[in-house]
Amino acid sequence: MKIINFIILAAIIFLTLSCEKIIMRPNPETNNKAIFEEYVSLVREKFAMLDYKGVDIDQLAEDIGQTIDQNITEEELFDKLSQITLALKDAHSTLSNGEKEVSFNFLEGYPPGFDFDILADNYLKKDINPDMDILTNEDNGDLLAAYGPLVQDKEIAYLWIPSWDVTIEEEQIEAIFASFVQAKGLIFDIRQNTGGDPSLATKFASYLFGGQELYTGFERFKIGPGVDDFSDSEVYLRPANSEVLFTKPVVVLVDRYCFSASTTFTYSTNPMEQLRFIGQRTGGGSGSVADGFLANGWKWSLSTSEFIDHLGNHLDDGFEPDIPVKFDTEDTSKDEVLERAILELQ
Amino acid sequence: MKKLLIIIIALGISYSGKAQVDIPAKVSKKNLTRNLSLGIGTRMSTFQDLKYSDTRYQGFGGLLSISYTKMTSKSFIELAFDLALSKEGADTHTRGQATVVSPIIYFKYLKPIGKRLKIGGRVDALDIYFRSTQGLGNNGNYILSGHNLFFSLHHNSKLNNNWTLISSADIGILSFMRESVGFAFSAPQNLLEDGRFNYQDDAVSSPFGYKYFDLKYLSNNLNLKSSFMLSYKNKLSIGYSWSIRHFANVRTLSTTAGAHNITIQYNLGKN
Repeated sequence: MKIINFIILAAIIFLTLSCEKIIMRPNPETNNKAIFEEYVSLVREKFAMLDYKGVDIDQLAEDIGQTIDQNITEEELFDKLSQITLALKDAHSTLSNGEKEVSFNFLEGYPPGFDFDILADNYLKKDINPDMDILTNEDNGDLLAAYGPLVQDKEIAYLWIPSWDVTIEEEQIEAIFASFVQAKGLIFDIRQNTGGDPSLATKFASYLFGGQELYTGFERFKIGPGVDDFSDSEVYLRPANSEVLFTKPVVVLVDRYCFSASTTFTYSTNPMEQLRFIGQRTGGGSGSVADGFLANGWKWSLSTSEFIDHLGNHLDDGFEPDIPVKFDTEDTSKDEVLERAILELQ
Repeated sequence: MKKLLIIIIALGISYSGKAQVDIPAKVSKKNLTRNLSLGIGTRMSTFQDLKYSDTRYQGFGGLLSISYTKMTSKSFIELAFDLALSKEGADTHTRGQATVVSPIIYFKYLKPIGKRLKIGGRVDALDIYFRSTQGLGNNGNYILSGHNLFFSLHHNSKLNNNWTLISSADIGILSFMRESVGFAFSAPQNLLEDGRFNYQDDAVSSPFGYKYFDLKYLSNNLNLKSSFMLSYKNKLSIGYSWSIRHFANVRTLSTTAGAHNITIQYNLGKN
């Protein structure tokens, strides 16, 4: 028995004197070459749209890698890594050194498709439209939603969600849609909405149809470091468990700022037959995003999936609305996009 | 490694060592003992997630524990709650400090084998490892949640009339667990591999979304805890303990979390 006791005690001592660092991989190097190679590996292994965006990461790495040695400054190194970030043509993919952040500018080349003053002065303000409700964040006063009947046609309801990067409670969503019960049509405005929480966008989409689940497409996730390590998640949207679903005609107003979670909203609602999109080509940003730090502390983010809609369209560069409408910033008396939507629903 | 232990102790770092109160050599069934113990300590914790970086994180923190034990000559039962908290920084840079919170509720049952040795099992009714990294968005929160089954060993060495050394080891044999972050997104890897991602599924983001839990075994999930507790008159204990989790949900890209603790525990019961 003494021998057994000794063996057990020795085993416990051995366990305790072990250390997790024995099985951990050593810390990475932080010299210029190592940082460059770490970033290239991350892009190669995690970025989900190398093919779709036409990025030859090996060629890029070779071309830029030749210009990197241990003598270049941190700033020069950052600029060289930024060339890779920009080559991805994806605004979800960013690189930050703490002082500056680079990412692809998806707005470049697109004229404005929205003007807040024009919207407020002609459609939202209480003196123009006393029935318009404004939902704000009680803590910071941020606008969460504007909703109510339009003064131009009281049978048409209007809802503007300027951001998905907010919290709107279930009861508040119910109250919004409960106020639309008498309306013959709904204008759902998501212009300027650059995204936020895709779950919230999906929740709003789930109020716009009833009956069977709706196939909206599939999200193609990177699931491993290999070039073919992808898995498709087919997405079926369930209608909200609510008495106030809005299943009558809907027009969604879009502009180039509609990005990320707004793309989640658009692909979720696009298969709905009673729904049309009006406005400007959207911004895209269909993928889910992962982020982290390089070994020297620079922060990266990358799109690690992309969404392909129910018709097989890649959505990451945005999509054209059913009815394109040019916005005139000179004419402050009306919002052309909203006016076209009213016509559509009348 | 001994140097490391000395350094840890010298720095006053502690780890959640759980004091196992010594079972008196002769306790009749009628003479059972019930104890309530409170412990506090300090810890040094480490973390590495190869899915995202080779950079190691490490830092210091503290822990609290409360345990109830019931002992007879035939069995030892323990019900305990441990709460550990630490702040970790990266070894290679100064951005992205992480806060780690780890509550564990467990039950342990042991049977004496001879005079000094007890064996049995431990069940973690709740085991949460939550870390929040500053400056990150989608990958800012990492949650390892689950339930574990351990094979447990306790060994008592009576050093003199006052002091007892209690050595223990818990060897994880089965875990029903979920890692909230996969290879390339903040969702469990098995969910993404199986193509089940959906924003309307609350279980995707819930640490208790059981349909995305995985069974892991000793062979693919190293889950070890060991400790040494020096107990004075079965009233006050001081100890060192070590724990490690090491597993991989994506090929060889493993996640490792370890902690070294030093704990002082006070037994509120009468001896």
